[in-house]
Amino acid sequence: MNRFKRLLCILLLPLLICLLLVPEGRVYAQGEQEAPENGRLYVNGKTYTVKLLNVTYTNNTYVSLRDMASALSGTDKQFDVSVSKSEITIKTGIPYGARGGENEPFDEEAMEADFTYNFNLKTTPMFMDDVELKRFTLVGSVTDGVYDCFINVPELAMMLDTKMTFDNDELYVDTSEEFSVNMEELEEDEFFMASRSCLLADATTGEILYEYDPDRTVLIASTSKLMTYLLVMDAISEGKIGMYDTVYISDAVSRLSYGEDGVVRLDTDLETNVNELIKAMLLASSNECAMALAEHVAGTEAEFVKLMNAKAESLGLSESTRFYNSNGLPTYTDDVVTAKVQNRSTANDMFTLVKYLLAVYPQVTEITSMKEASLPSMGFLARNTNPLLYNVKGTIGLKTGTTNGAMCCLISAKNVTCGDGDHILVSLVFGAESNVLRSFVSEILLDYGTDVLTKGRTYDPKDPAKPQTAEELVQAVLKTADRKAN
Amino acid sequence: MAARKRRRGFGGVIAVFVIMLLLMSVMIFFFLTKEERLAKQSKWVRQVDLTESVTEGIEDYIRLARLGDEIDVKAIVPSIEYNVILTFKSKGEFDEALDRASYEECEELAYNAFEEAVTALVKKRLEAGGHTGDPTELITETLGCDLISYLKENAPAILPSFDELDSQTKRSTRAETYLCNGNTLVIVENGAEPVLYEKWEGEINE
Repeated sequence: MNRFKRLLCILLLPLLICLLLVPEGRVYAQGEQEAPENGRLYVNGKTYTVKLLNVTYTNNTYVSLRDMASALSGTDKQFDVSVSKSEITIKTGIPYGARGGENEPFDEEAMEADFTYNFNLKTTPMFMDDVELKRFTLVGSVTDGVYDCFINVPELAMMLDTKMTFDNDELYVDTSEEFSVNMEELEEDEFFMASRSCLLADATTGEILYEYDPDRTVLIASTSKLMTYLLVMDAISEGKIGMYDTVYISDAVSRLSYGEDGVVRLDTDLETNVNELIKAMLLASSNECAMALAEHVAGTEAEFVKLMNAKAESLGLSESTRFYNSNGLPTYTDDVVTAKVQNRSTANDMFTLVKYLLAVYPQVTEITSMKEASLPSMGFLARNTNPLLYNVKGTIGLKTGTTNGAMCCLISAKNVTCGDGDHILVSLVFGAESNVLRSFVSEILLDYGTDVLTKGRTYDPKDPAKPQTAEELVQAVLKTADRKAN
Repeated sequence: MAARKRRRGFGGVIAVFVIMLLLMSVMIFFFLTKEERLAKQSKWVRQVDLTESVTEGIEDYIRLARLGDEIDVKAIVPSIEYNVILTFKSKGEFDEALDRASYEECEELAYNAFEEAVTALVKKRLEAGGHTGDPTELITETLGCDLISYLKENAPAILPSFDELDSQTKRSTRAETYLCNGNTLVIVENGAEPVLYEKWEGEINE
């Protein structure tokens, strides 16, 4: 027996040590860096040395913020930066106060060191002119006691609104030019292929500004909750339920809340209301609150799912769109051979849904533009999961979504004012490889869309999926006719 | 005495002649200023016909997909004309500009005809394939948008864009001679054929 106990200890001890070594809290993304590199930086013609980290996880180059601040001092894009282990503060328009080591190459020791454990790709709190940003950066100590922050080059270019081009470890900065997205270059670099499907459109006019595989059927995860919200609002406008109705928590909802997909613990004796459930669902992406709302509207979630699919049909969404539950989590069919299924749709269909939602219930953005909301009945502070709300000025929503199958999804909306009035730009990114990428792609799309609306179109999105000749059109229609006949 | 009388008669003839000359000059003067005044009082319009080029554009698009001569595009395309508005400035100088409302009307007529021709084509091909479905419904379902929007975005343009036409039309020049009777105006530019304009009652919509 003692021998058995000893064996058990030998087996369990390493496991316990491993568990203790895993950092606490929420890990957003773990980057893997290649060896640090020294690059050349050209600012308005002047040459500097700049420290770089290439992160294979995002396939992007991260540049030393201190080196950049030092090199940009004296230009109209100058900024001061202070970096600690837990916070980055940037003040624009003032010269950089040097701390030592700026624009000096990595020393040999650092070049040989394994940076993986020193720098983690995460959203260290960042403040730019007192505005909070949520950007994935690498913060660590390069020289003893002096912390530095490494930031993705195009993200810094967007933050400072200046032109930066990168070529073979040589970074060119032209402070006289504004940042602008070069769609042709991105297409050539297959930038959007790292996501399953993307769409950028003007929800005010319905005009599609960019699309990548928009009819591909994709799993939509928690972005499904926009449909749940739509049906809840329909029920309110029809007088079936009230915004401040008391909602009782069922066993199923409570069980979900205590499971691994739970966001806020909901006990069966809890009395909450529709308004708080909506906020928890849209901001914190609470799966149990979506389910509670579904049950409150339709009696059971199964009945609510029927309403979701009927609504999809009435909106003219394609057959690719199908809902299985109110929250977007994976679920299992009742068949003899069960299938693991998830809500699915296409970028085009989801844009149709969002366009309708923004037109009929524009108050959705009053909720989705909140960074957080206190929900007293649940004793819960719902924090918005959408990073663009912090990083892109004018962002008013809308919804994140992540499951293993769906990967990372993000539907964002941004207010843009241009010559002919106010517009709402909507970007939809489905199946991005990481939450770093979904934010980055969305930000790039919204920046491009803003330029299109305010400065005019710079790129002509030709849709290769649509027939280009009369014969192709006839063949496509014949296929539709065949499909319908069969 | 007789000689005095003769001298007086000769002077009268000269006086009458001079008066007549003066009168004729005044008449000519008034006649011209009236014409100029008439021309300047109004705006003038001429029509430019696009019917043929639109018909050719549609025929070119459907040519390779049609089964025979079953679609008479000429019968489908109505008269498509846009207006060029002439405004006199002074001393024979005038401006010409494209009327946006008439261009938009042309565009609507042209694309309605384009839609009709393509729908007829699809209908014929569906019938040939043994299908009986509504071609408009099937086209919309296939494209995910209405046919006119699709044609505007994906098919070759069947008429020049407003900006293109506007840049060709917009000019300020001088007429060599012009004749006006109140309802019609003929402009003759140096070395060019006379151009007939009609009185324009509408508002300029550039």
